[in-house]
Amino acid sequence: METVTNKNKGLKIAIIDYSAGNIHSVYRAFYKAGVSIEVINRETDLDSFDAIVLPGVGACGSAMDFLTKSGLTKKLNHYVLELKKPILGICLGFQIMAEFSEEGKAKGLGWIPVNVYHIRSVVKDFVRVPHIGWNDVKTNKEELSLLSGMIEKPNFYFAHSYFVPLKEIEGKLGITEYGIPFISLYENRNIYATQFHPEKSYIGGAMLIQNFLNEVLNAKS
Amino acid sequence: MLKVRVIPVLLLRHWGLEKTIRFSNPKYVGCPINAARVFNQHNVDELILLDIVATLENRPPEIEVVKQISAETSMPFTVGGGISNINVIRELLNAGADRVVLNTSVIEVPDLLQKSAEQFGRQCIVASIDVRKVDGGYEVFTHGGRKSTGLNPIELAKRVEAEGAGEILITSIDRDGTLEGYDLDLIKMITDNVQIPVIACGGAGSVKDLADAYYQSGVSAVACGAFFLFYGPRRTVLITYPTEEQLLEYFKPEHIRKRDPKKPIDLELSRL
Repeated sequence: METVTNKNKGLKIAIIDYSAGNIHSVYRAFYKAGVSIEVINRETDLDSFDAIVLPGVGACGSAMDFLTKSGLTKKLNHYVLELKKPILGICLGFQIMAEFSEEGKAKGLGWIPVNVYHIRSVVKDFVRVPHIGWNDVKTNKEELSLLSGMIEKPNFYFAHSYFVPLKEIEGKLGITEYGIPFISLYENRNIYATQFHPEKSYIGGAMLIQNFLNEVLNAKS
Repeated sequence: MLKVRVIPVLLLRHWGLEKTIRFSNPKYVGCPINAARVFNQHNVDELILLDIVATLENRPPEIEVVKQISAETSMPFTVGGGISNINVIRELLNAGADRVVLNTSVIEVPDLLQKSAEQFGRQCIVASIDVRKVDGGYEVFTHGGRKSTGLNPIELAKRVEAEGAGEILITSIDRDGTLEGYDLDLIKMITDNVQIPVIACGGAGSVKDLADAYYQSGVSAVACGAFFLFYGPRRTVLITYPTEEQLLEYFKPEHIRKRDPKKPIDLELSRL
């Protein structure tokens, strides 16, 4: 019988649980990829993990409060800024990487030089908010590692009221239109983030997660 | 561009799957976990599960059903029925549901909508409004269509929007299970009066019905039960879902979700 070897096996991934809701789906998505996962909900030494996932449910202010009070902000800063190891933020997990969020007037981790706004405070035309459903993700100029092997302008599942309007910043960007163009995917060095939910986006989402794990494998070797 | 969501609605009674006509005559149609698995294979845009007797039995939906569905699918899904406090919402979200539907409790439990929207974000909270025609006007009913409220649907829609609902599921009880098409007048009344997205439900029997609701009433999503569960005049149980080609007959290409043509098989093997 043919044996299938799994290159992901042996990868150690930490999923941060800021006890704001659903991390089950993110957990399942990484579990299916064959990595070993630890769910982190208090101050823990993160350095031995090959990658960290910041999932996204809840509100920006309370997530940041949790990270700060638990002491995780410091550990995450060390992991991302000093060790420069890979991290993936999903939805709110992307938004808390920004400098500031209008949601709860909260200061973010400040890793990405952007601000997060309520969709209605920046979009002049009528759009229904929250932005819920499937939408296209196109690239600004360069090919994104996370979209490698996918169809042109793949569709992913979104569910959010706050977003990051498109802005010229360092890094590769995925762009989605909802009233105005906004940043739906971000890749810069060791920081990866999506405004949409790959764990809820069928095969495209599974491919994105595998692409992230490929980056983790590259970083490791 | 944001795509239309075509959403199957599954009605639960504990661990069983049922389908009603005008909210009565429930017919057993099978196992919800199998049905969810099949819909997942059909790549549906989203799935809604509603336990239709939970409120009457004063209990939330079966958490185990939600857990199993979450474990076996990778699609967005929304769960409702009998949800009357914030702990149940947390439990359902932790079990893998992406969003929850509040119906009777929107009216009967003050503050629940507001508190849950604050805690989990309004994109998590769907307010469901069941409406029946009474004396030529529209009236909201709760408790699975059993209890009259005297409320006007527009009034309630505005209220749930103000209290924090992220979306409204508007269902015509008179059209439920009939396959006669949506009540477009009712749906338009709601979409004209709120700025949150609206899901139309009740009566769809063809892809044309779905497109009519989308293009004529301004909804963001179209939901249906019987149309995706039954086949033929004798209502044989058969799970179906329109293909991209079938949708393209009535929808503009830019409004239909693009599916990745790759097969999931390689990725599923990765766990071995």
